Amino acid sequence: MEIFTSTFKGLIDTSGFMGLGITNIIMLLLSFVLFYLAIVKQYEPLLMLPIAFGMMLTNLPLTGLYHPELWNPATNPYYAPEYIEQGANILVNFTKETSLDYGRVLHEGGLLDMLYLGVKLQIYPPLIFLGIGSMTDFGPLIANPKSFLLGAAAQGGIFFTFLGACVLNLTGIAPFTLKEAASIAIIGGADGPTAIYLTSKLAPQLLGSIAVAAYSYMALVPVIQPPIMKLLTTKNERMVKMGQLREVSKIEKVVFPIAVTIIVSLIVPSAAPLVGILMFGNLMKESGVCDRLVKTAQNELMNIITIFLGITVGATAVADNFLSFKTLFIIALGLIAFCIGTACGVLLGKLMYIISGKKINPLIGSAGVSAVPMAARVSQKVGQKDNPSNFLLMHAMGPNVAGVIGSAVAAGVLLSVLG
Amino acid sequence: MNFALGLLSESGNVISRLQGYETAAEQVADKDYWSSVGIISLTGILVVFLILAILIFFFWLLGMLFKTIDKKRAAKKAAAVEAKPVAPAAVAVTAEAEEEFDDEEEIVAVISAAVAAFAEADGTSYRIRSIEKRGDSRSRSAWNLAGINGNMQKF
Repeated sequence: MEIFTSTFKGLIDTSGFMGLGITNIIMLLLSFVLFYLAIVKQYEPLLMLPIAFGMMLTNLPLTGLYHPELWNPATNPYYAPEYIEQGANILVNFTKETSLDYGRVLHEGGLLDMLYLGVKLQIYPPLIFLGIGSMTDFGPLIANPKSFLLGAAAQGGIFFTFLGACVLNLTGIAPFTLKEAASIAIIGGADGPTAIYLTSKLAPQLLGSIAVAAYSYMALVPVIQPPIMKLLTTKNERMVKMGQLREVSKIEKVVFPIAVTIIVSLIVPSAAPLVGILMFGNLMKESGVCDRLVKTAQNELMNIITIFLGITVGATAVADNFLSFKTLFIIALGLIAFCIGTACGVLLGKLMYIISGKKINPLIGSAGVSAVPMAARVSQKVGQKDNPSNFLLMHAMGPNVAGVIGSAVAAGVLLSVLG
Repeated sequence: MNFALGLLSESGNVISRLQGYETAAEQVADKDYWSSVGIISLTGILVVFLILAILIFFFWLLGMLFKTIDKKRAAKKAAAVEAKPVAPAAVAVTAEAEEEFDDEEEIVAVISAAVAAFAEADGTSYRIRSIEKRGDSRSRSAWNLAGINGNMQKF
């Protein structure tokens, strides 16, 4: 009987209930909210569901799937003063800057720690870009290179929000460092992989909240954008029909990814991992000689990486990082970034409408925030409401894919300055 | 040729000094904080515009190149066609006119069949009085619209 009770007591002591705190419970409830958004509301479910599940797993106590302390250099025991006195630091031979101890991660890490290596080492986001590149048709952009301008204008949201986050520091409630401000601002690029890429480098402690905000707002593009688009344009502007795009030859489509990679990588080398791999995927597609590779990049590889990326990004949302005023600010600033990005795109579209002699419909400007192809569809729908025979989809695809390149370049610029 | 860093070379030292602080509050307290924040935002958006402007120029050039190549090819083809012995012009014109006429009859038949199928009711008969093309030359036909809508459903 004694054996029985002691075994039972041991079982209770090692059960999760003993470690369950109030913060864990709040985080579990939050993950349920994300489940609701993913399953019922279908907000980017392919990413939101893994993120929600990762969040749930990581907040169940004692599971040992993910160890935030392994990823925080400050908690590395080798940096404890007594170890340094004993010369351990010389053995480990890390500088404080690069002090993440990967050996320790491999020795002590759980499943999600291992998978998180792909985020931390910036492997997953470029691989997702490989898939995106192999699915994207840059034809509309090549046919109308002016679309690049709209793709650039919509990145205005990123830099305005960067300013905004810094101004918020004046309130003193949740001060953001420059790196954190840049990571929050990149939500305005409306590009999940880019946001994760930049945040994992600059402010990994905010990864969970930034990813959740970015993907939620991307799902909400059809709700957020139309009111701004309507506010900034007149009915006449929205009714403009654009001339048919010219046919783009195969040679141009093959030259495009090569030229973009070379030009962008020479000017902002830190954007090369994203833009280069994006263009690699596109070249595989447009060359027409790598069909098997293209199929893998579009389907299996992309799906596998999406699962890994989603569940590990969710796992970083531990209570200590997530339950703070910062998360609320991130959600608010992310929305502002999205709105300003949309507005910048539409306003430049308006300018181009005037300069071109009413040939360009300003609605395609809003598609300059990435969110492919959702943002282009929004342009199409808003345009069709005022003029049912108007088809802006292909015209909007130009700024839309330019936005992907634009936000990757913006991320590269922020990295080279702050990284 | 790291252009972005080049633009920031002057403020680079300041930014690395700011990065050296452990907390955001210390960063904000630095006298150069706001100027660096401004410079980062401004150069950021400028560099994005600059790169995309370079790409515009490059692909505009490429587009022009391909347009001229296409024109040359078309001119060559036209020359080749002209060089061949052709039937007298008058015959060609009548043939073309006839073709147009045939075409129209066919279209009338298709349209009347469509109207009949759409507005089907027993004991009624229709007479088509006129068929007019819709004024706006840029707009697509109803069939075209239906096709595009169908293709877009999957998105």
